[in-house]
Amino acid sequence: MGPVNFSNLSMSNLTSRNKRQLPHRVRHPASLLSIFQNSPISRIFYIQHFNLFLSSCHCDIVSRSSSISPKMTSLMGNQSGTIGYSFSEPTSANVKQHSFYPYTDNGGSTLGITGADFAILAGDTRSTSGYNINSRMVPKVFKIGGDDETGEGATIILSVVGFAADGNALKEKLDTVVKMYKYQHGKSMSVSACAQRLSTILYEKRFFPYYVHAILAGLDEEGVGALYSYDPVGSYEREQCRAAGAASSLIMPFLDNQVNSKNQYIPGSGEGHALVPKKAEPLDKETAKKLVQDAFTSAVERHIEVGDGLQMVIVTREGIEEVFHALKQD
Amino acid sequence: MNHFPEAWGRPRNDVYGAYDHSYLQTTGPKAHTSSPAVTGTSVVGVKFNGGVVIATDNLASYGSLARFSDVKRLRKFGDKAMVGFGGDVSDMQYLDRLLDSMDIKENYSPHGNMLNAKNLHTYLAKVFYKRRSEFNPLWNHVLVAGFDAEGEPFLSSADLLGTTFSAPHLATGFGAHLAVPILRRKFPEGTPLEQVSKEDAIEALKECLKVLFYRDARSTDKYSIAVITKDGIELKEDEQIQGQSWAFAERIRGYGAQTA
Amino acid sequence: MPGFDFTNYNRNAALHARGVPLPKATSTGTTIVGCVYDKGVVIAADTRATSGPIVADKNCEKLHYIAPKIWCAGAGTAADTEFTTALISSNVELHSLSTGRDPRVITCMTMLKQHLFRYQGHIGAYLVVAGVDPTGTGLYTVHAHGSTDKLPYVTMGSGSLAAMSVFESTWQPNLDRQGAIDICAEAIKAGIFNDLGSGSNVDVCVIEKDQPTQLLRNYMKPNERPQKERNYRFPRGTTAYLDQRVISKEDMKKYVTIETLSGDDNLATGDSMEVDT
Repeated sequence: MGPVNFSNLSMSNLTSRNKRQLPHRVRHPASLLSIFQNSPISRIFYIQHFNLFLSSCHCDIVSRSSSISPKMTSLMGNQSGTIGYSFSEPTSANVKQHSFYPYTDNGGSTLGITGADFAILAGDTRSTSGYNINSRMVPKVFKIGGDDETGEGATIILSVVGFAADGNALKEKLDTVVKMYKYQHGKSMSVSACAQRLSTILYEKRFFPYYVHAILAGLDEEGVGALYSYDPVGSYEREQCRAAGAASSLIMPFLDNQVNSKNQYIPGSGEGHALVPKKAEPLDKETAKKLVQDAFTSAVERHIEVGDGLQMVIVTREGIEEVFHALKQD
Repeated sequence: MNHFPEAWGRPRNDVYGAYDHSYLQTTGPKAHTSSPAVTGTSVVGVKFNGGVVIATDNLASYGSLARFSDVKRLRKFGDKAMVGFGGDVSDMQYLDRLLDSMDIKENYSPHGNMLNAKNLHTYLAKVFYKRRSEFNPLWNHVLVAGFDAEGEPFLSSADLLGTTFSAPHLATGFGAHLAVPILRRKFPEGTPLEQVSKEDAIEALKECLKVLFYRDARSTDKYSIAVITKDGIELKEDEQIQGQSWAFAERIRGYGAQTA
Repeated sequence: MPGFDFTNYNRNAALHARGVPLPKATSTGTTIVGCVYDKGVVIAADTRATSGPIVADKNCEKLHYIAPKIWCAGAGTAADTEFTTALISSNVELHSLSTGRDPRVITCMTMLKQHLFRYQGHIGAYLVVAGVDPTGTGLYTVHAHGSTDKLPYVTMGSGSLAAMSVFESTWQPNLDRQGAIDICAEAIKAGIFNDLGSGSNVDVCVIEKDQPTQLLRNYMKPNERPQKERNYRFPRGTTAYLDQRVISKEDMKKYVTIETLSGDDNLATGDSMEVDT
């Protein structure tokens, strides 16, 4: 297969048809928007090609066009090319669409923190659909490239949150890739290489994406904790810490403040603008674990889709440690 | 009548308007199952010390019509696992055929059918996921019951999107709302499996089916139940819900001011 | 002219058609139940209020006063349940004053359904009305569209199925007071633990003939937050500021009257906020 899988090209219509949006990373907020608002004909066609060639611009154009109702579209764009009476529905070229929606949201949240010699990935163990709890014990963090079914011998971990079936498929695919690498090259894959590969796996399905927010973690060549976070279509970045999923908007500000010391200043270090910001200090493993626990117990208080159990997977030079804590079940 | 033979016998455009080609799609997405037709409702299952029980009622509905009142929605896979089907009945029958042919193929191999319930669940989940990715879903939500490779009781769910999850007790459809709370109350998630007896598990399932019959308008009081243990599968397909109580109805008069 | 103000209706409809989303109302995605027993009636509710997937209030009150012996549990849009019950409570009291009799549950229920029917479901109040009056005990559900139901046990809200599963599997006729409280609390707990829209604590209200009505606020607290692992108290001066101005009490007196209260803790009303020390 070629580098990009086009087998489901027509499915990108899906994004514009449905109100729910994939949380793409956006770099150019709305600079291209006006073009599309003024030339509504085949809007989706343009969007597809724009996204193809200007991959750095995969911005919220799709989402904007979706907010325009079908009625508005027919007012703005002369779709059928014929002038009909108001009571005759234009029938040509109006493709009948499926009512089947291939995604669902299984809720939950994940979070990763790194330090000088460790990396932690954590996630709650609740699986939801709507207002229902599917199960109280569905792990979201996986060992990648282990020697057997239990993941023994792995050095890389992956967390996925969003649509669980896509998450599972993604995990299996990456796991296979990392295992094949080991068999073919006789050495383990580095985290940075695995991170790059995960990005391409996600981008392969650019027009029928894996509806997940992934975080990959391990130790880099120097033995320093490494953490990579992804958007659903493969944009990725190495970071100190990252929260993803349902309660990410609740947890991330907490992490900014506690891990990167954002919005904290050294008391008495100056007046007004001269006040010195507090420098972020590297965390030790135990502190990081406590921060993870507090982040989750707090998220449980305020987000209905987070709860039941906390799975924490810690990578160090000694290997991978996995711990579970109970969370509130309401 | 005009002079073009291809137009003979066709509705005239000047009388009936041009033919609406949108009904005869040649481009665009292919039409697949985009909604189920004949459907089965809940499937419920519980793990116990040494096995799994799973049950469904015997009704297949056509919309709100109770269309087929003797449809068996529990299917055996070999002699080791059971699948309970909720959702579209035609898709169920397709999957049943698929699993039967796989069972036969496996049995022709030198080692016989070695696939356990966990393998079966993985396979079914992948079939569901593949079909949803092709936009041609199999409109089912299934429970798979049996044993895993270690010989531990196994109960897991898979649905039309390929979503999977497992728990000590599971239910699909309406049962997810009505039966799961009952099962979670009787056997809280932390309970060790050793403390759940086969008899308690069967009783709990029967209670669930009764409550579902009270409150699920697409259910019936005839059901099938299968007990899977190391000794094999004990499947009963013509059971009747026992001990119904309509005592609450005695005092009801109207919905407001009416008293007699 | 009493009633709602529709001034901005057309503007909002036009905005909505252009893709402006509707404002989110706080909804009590809820579990509420009611159950009659030999001498009276019990209603109960959970205490979670949500706004989408976010918990808006962890310990809200969903049991509303109508009359001393008529109470109402509300699900649906928080504001609608609050204002509808307050309005009917007021009208019930006026009616009681004018007739010189104790108000009846059926009167209250009829006023509620006629009010809600008039608004064709746009007032999103889903209620369980319960009480005791000279004619006996009453327990009704009222839906937002105006339909009502009279049953010995009822449930409402997003957790209604979970709660109903408890009633359908354990309810029996001729319950006593404690039996009714227990089954209602158990039903609410089923909602709290199985329905994401419900959570936190159990509130119970017991209404009995010739007994004062008892509101058992936070009858059960099965979801208390565990101790935090770390202390998040910041040293004084951590937050940056560009300018500071100190206004002395003497200066304040120029603009407002100041009354000093005693340091007695009992003066504080409402829940105190949880703060790290």
